[in-house]
Amino acid sequence: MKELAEIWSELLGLPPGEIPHDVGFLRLGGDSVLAVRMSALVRKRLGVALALSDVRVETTLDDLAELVRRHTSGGAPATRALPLTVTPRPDPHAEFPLLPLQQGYFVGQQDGWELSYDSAHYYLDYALTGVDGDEAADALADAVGRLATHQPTLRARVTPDGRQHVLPADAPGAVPQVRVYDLREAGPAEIATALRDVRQEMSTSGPDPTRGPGIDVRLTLLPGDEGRLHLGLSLLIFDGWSSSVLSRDLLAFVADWNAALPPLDIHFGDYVTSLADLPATEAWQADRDWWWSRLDTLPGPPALPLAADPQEVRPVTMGNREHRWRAESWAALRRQCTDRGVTPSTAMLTAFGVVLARWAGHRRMLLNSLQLNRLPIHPEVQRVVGAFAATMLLPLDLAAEATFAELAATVQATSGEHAAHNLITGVEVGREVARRRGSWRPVGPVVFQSVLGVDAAMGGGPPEEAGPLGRVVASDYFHQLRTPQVAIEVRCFELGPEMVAVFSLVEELFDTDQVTAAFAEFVALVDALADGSGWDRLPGLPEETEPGPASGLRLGLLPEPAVRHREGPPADDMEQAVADVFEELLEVPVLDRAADFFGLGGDSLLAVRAVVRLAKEAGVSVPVREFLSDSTVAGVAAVVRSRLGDQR
Amino acid sequence: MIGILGATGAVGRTAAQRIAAYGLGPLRVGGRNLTRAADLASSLPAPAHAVRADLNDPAELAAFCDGCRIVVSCAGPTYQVLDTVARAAFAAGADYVDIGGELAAKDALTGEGVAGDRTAVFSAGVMPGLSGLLPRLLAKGRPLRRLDVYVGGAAVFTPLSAVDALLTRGPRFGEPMAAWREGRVAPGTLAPLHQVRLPGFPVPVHAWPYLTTEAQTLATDTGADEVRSYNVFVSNRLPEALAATWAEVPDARPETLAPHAETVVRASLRDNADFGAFYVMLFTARPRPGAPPGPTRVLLTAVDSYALSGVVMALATRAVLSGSVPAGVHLAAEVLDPDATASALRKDVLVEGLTVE
Amino acid sequence: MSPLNDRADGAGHAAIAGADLSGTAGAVADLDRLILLGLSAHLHRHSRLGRSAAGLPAGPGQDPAHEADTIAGDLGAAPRHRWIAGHWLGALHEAGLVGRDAAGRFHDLHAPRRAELVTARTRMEAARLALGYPAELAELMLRSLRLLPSLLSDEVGVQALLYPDGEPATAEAVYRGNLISRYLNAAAAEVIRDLAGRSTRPLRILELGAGIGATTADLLPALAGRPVEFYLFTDLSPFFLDTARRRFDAGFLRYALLDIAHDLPRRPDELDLIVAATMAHNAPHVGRLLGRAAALLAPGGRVLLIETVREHPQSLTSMPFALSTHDGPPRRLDGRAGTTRTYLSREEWLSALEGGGLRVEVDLPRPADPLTALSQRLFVATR
Repeated sequence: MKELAEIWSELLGLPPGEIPHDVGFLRLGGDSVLAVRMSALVRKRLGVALALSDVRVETTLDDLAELVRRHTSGGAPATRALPLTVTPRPDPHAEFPLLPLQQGYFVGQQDGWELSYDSAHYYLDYALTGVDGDEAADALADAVGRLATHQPTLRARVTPDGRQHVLPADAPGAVPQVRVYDLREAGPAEIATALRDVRQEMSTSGPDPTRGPGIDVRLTLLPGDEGRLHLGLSLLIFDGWSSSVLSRDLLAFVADWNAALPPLDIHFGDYVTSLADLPATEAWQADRDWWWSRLDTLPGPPALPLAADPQEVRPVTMGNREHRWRAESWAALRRQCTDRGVTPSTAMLTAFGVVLARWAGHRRMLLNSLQLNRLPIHPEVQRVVGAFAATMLLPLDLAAEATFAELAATVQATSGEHAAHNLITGVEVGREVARRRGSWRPVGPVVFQSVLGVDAAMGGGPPEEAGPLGRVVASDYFHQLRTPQVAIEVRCFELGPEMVAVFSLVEELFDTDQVTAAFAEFVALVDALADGSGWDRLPGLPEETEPGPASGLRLGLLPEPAVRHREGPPADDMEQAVADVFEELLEVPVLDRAADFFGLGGDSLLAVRAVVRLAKEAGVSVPVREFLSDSTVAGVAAVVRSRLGDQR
Repeated sequence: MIGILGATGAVGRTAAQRIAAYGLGPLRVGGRNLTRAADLASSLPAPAHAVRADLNDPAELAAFCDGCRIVVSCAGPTYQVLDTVARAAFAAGADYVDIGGELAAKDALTGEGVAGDRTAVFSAGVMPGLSGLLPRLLAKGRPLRRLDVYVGGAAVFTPLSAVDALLTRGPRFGEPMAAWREGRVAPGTLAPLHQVRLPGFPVPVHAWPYLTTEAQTLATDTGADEVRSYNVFVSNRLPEALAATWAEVPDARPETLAPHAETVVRASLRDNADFGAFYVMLFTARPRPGAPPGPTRVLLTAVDSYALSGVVMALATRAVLSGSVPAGVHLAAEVLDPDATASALRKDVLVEGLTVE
Repeated sequence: MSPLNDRADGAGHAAIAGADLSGTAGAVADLDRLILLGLSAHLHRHSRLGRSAAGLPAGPGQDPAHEADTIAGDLGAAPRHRWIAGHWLGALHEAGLVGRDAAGRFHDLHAPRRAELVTARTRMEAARLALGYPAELAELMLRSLRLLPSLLSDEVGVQALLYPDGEPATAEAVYRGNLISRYLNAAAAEVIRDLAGRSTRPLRILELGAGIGATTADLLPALAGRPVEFYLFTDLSPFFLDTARRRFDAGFLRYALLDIAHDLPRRPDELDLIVAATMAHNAPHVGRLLGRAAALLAPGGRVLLIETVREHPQSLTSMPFALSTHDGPPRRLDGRAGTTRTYLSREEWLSALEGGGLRVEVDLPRPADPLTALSQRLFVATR
């Protein structure tokens, strides 16, 4: 209210304390032009965008305050004041670094890690009805063009050495091209084949922002005014929240040839650049110290029995198990959660933990959780498309003799506590863990992701009416996920009034029956929570807190290749050359052939750069996977030597 | 007769002990405190007697040097001693070995024919001294692309050595943050290294680049394309204490610096308390590609750098007495034989390890 | 025409030297086209003229025809804005985008394709660049189309269009920085210089409906160093007087609220110059206004008018809203009565000036000048 009175004071030339709260703007001397300026000032200073028709000359200060209150999205957690400001960069096309999770995806795409693919991406298609077949393609192409102007991230690219930038809107290839398949005259068999082929293609090979746009948009026109919209999104560029923002923005542009969205003052590059000052802040250092003090006592991932060693597996896509809860069930679950003082996400997470504990045979485990992680350092951050998301390592310690409700309460507290230290992300923590343990197996291969409640936070679901694209039939959808370095992941999201949970997993790693059983248990647990019976029960949990001695292959307990090199100075020119490359990248003296790249302070991104440098220096390409399996000076030199030998 | 001044100090005791053990001759032990000197003399495994000798008293000094074949001075601080004792030794017809002195002392003795056919060896300690001598083991017969020197550890400073350390500033001693490149000192090319792991050092250390005049001579003598020389500390306390004093006392004279010696000493004591005592000298070489094979690393580990200096003094004394050092004024790093010194050190109990690989 | 006409023309062209005028007519047409198609799209979507709204099969000549007022109802127009629907349909008919039967009812509205609209939008952008309009103009046109429902229902005033965020940049763009404004204002400044040069006593100048002072800003420098007794800057709205007070800094400036419909100052034979830039058409009877103005002039005094002489479709989504009175279309008592015409033609102006007892000295741009496509003119007439 104080800020509003100040705004009125400036416009009307009256002392703020003397402005009555119940007198219309016009009566106090304002006019329609000043009313427009008032709206602008409210938007600039309070970050609240009022509709033009909201602010009229009859509006009183009380009315305005009520309007502002209603527009301010509730549910945003009380935020730490961070001494960071985001300002637009002078050159919007300049390169900027990748955020930690982006780095993780980038390196993961290099075929370096276990469980990696060529691309980390998310594919989604959904049905459209009432499509105007003659207009849809033009409308969609125009919408993508305008979206590429409004959201620069659509023009983003990643460089081979792991940095990113945005192409100018008029650069060739900057605006993603829409591919259209016109099957309006086709028969059912042809349609079925075509659809299967598109899905197959877009599921297994996603957009690669190192070579082109990070988004692939296609439209299939079907008979009877029907259609399908296909979206492939690179996880390197777009996070989960962004795909929702993007859908809404895209459909708004499709629906109306003249739609205008409130312009964005800042973009992803500005946000990332301003984060460069984060490590200098006390808050960041406090978070770092908090995490670092816990690292040596973190549990390992759930020791799930494996059918294959992840290092041997070359997965193509992830398999899914999916369940949908109907509107009444979902509503019931929400009510139960509210009664117990627990969020639905927490309930799902706890259920997942219980199932994992039973499956793995122990109660203490490390999960990896995907967080939206948009730091509130600018009012527009929620509207910007980019890859803000981050992982968070989350240790669970499920008590042996507790009811589900008690377990959930504990999980909620732990999760909240860890999330409060979100200035250090899971990728950074994971690197430090790996470095201390001397291991390069993924630290958090079991992932939990929930976007329950996101739509409400965004102010409603995506628009249903999309002009020439007709109506979106949200329940008729198909999706495929490829996230590297994940063995098994559960995702929870809403679809209209329903709720969906999906297990996505690398099929080759697990015994199918075990997976099916685990998923069924999970569903049954959640059902019991919805009908209320599950909360006060003691979920049967194994006695052990830690995994016992490994029998067979178990996640997190896999043998590390024990490589020991004789210590000493670099033994020959090749080892010295490798040492020189290490030294250049790590900026520390590299004086011993047994020195390990990561032990000296290197990270995965620098490892990729090292491989690139070595390729240039030695003329030979060392696959990142091999670099990682032995990242000592001697080890890398041996690989280079043998590859050079192969070349001859 | 071998005269040893400052024999009761940290360096001098070991020097005296080693000289006696090498059987180089009877010793005359000199110091300001006769009782302590006498105690030391009686503990030595060779004939030795104690004499009161105050360096600041020319008569006492002359009396001390009279009859000595060689005078060995472990007395500091360098800034006080300079060429005083050397001149007294020469006047008595004796050769001279000094723990410090460097270019300042050498300059003070040059150009007047002062030495005559006497021999003087300065800077016969660990650093300068060994730090400029041992790396030559890596440069034999082949030019080097790069030579690195990392010397330091956790050692306790005495008040006198603290003042000496504070005085070690200015172009006559060296240039901070500089490397040797392309035939000359390249200022501002190196940055301090923090929490780095270096072979031979037991904990991650802080290495502060300081291109000593000794390192510069090393570069020109060995023909190395690039030389980097670092003082290694276990924490930032000492660098900060030194820097703080230098900032506060821009006029670096012993009188003005002496009151600040205490901060330096305290910093070293805290390091010692945290890490224990150790001293490491690491030298690494990068030969030019295609050069003939040879050792590329010298690593010496010890506990007590003062005592080790005493060993070096004794070895220098032995070298002079055996006639293997020509007449004139020299610096130990340039004139002693690296191989002989290395093999002698390797056998010495004060050296935990000395590897050349 | 007079030598003054030539000199003013020269000054005007000097101000836009280097501009390529060859595409002017085409660019004007592109700006018009965007609004016409945008209106068609809007009417198609929101009124019974849209085929889907009518629920009728496709095919030309098969739509029933509708009265303009019915369409106004479909659009949710407030009573005072209902006349605008007819105004639009008239323009659309003139452009060949809608049919009109003998009874004056409308049918067969063109349904713009998306590709057409996208092209029109792109061409509009190129056109405004060619004509020297800044980006604010493009935004004004597109925003006006977006706001049509709110403008029609009177939820939002036209001020929101011209002064988005309360900043004058858009209005400036429309009235100042573009080709034709620069030409006309420079020519007007030349006329002022001529007047000042010939005057034997300090000048007395009155500007009617001065608004944001777009023309004033160019005339004041021409008076620099000349003796001016007063320059009376007047407008209906205190907002503009305030803005002008902050903006202009000349000792001879005076400010007053003045509504030309009601009161003109009553001291005849006094003024040396009356300036009316893009506002004289607002008078219900232009001829009477000019007569009254002429009566205020000293002998040899001048009236300087900058006027639009053709209603370009590009202003269809903004101007009419500014013109609606309290209860309907602007009241016109002169030759425009009974129509929804806002502007007079060039001939009508010349005739009205002469009818007011004034002799026209300046009539620019010249007939063959490509700038005529922009349909804004400078008239200077003397008593």
